[in-house]
Amino acid sequence: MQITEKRFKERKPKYAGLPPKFLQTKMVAAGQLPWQMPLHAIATDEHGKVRIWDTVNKEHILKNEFQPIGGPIKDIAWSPDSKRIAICGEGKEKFAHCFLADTGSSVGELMGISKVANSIDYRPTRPFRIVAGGDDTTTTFYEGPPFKFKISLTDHTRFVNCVRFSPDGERFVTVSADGKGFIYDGKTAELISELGGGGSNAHSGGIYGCCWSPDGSQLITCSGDKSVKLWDMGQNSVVSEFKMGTAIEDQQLSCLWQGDYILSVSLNGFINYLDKSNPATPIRIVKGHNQPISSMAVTEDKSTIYTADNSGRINILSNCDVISCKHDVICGKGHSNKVSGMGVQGGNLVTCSMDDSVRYTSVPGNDFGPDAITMDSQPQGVGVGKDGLAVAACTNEVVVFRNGRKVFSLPIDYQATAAGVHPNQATVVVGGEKDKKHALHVYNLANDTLVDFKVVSLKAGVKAFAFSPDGRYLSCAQTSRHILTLDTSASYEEVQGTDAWMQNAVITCLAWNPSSTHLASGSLDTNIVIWSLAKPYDRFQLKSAHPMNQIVGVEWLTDNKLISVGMDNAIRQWDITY
Amino acid sequence: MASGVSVADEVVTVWQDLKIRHKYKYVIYHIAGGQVRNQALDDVNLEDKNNEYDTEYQKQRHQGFVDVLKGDDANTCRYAVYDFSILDQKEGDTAARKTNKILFIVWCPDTATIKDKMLYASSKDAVKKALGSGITEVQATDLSELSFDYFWEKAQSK
Repeated sequence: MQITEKRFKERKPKYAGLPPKFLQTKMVAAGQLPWQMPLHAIATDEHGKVRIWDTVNKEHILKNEFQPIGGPIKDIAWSPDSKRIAICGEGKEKFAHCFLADTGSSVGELMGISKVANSIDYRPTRPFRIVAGGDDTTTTFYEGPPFKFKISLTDHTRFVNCVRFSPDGERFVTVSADGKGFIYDGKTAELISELGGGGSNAHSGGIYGCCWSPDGSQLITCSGDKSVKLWDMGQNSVVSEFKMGTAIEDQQLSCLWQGDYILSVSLNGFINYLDKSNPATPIRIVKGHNQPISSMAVTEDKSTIYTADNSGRINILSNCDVISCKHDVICGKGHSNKVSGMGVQGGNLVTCSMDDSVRYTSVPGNDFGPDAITMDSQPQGVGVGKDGLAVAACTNEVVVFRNGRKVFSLPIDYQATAAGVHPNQATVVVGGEKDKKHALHVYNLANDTLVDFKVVSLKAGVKAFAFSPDGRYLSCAQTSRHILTLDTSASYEEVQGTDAWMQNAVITCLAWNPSSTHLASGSLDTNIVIWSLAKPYDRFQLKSAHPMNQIVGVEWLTDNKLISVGMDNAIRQWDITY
Repeated sequence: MASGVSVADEVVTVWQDLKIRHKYKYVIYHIAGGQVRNQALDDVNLEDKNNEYDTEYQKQRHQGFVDVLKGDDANTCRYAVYDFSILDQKEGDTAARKTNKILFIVWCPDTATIKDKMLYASSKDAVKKALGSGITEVQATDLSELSFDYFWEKAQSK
């Protein structure tokens, strides 16, 4: 029997916003025995649902769904024969439960826990045992099946964060917020020793997680003291210590030993690939978004993609073939709230955020600029032009910036929704709403001053603008599911025959391809639509481009390469052939 | 837990026997040395089994429980779990159903010291959670709330 497990948690700190969508996912591959069921994956979410999927067949059907404790589930463990599942968490009446994966019927009652249980594990060898640890500072040990309370272990003085059996089931380790770890006999739960011998605490901060090496000879522990330690379980001593930094964000919340790889997750969501032979530097750090992506911008030379999320973090994806790219994060004190609009031109990345500020960040580089430009009202969108020009549409004014300085402000009597700058740098467009009437306001820009040019009344609000790169057309993404295309050379008259329903919900983003022939749009309906002005009704749909998630940005890299970002935190690249 | 009182292992072990095997009629807990411990327990005997749904017999049995629970002076706090047998008859039922309800009794007599009452009230949650789901709580502060009829009423399904 072979078991591979992916124990992987991206736990959020207790004080940070929403819980992650999937607390964790574990997979068990149990093959080779003829009676065994096919591979199954299980996942749990904050509502306490346990879902079991088939992973072998082409269609990953949902086999079963249970809600065993009626509250968030914190940890989950399969029995080695893939028949039973043990879970623990924050239930209303119970904190841990063990049930059959097939039917959901209970396999004994896991009682004796009086507060939230953080971690549970199932002994991988016979006789089966279950061990659970939690916020009542005790570790409870069960014998079964059917599982019955055997003993509670009260060696820890603070929350027990993680309990894990060794791969051979001979021992198990518990780690706790008191900075200690204990090693117990896997069959009888007798205390063998303290992790590290007991002279001093295993870590100087609380320990959040531990994981055995596949051969059971070593163990990794990760801690709030910003380090990960590798232990030799024969000698009971530290082999190496991986120091991850000094900032609060460098606390290590979870760790995993999968095959040859040792991974740990930092508080800021970075996933570190640790190197046993060189503890000082990780092999690789994966940096991604932890919150839904809210906007995207691509540099003129199409080499770098910037994406920003609801927490204000901005990621850089350079060397823009998504497959072989390098990624990084803009560091320093940045936006403290959702980034609602961004654009990049020349050496400036201009972002506007719901924290009522606009920032100029010089790129390439990965540091936020020294100061933010505070706005009087919330900026709704930003349009970026050449030579350090940017235009921000705020709730009650339109502001022109030049190289990071506010140079002009035009008070408006409507509520702005989006802004755009014509490629010729002489025209600025702002979408607005007043008394439920929508309009497109066109301004001439000369000497950094805005002058009214024209108001085009619209049937619905504007979410985004896209000028064709040749400057001829302006397309507006509308809340009415339409895309309105205007001819700029004919003083913003509507191009006949283009005003059709393009998508099934609010259109959120638009982009013209570099040769100004095709337009791509993304929408709340999860689809991307591509069409050409020559044949507006002959449209091509990428259905469920970001399954179940709103699309927030589309950009063309070349005429044949489209990039899209969605609320699913994914950046996707599409190859388009006409 | 809020009071720092933890639940001793013996509580959970004996509780398991009561709930699953119906080995005990009742178990009485007290707080001693910062832990909730078993103070007294009563085995289910053959006579109990034969007269499980005989109300008169159960009343006698109940009196025995109350005597042990309240002690000599009836001013000490206690917790108890009690495997209570009743004949449940709801409106519209033709015949009574024989059923058992496990009651969790919080006995805080009015005459107890305020310190004791506070301690037992704040530790109640820890005990109840450790015992898990499927128990009905009964709060009793004087002897009328320990009466057989009162328990009977509480144990009836709603």
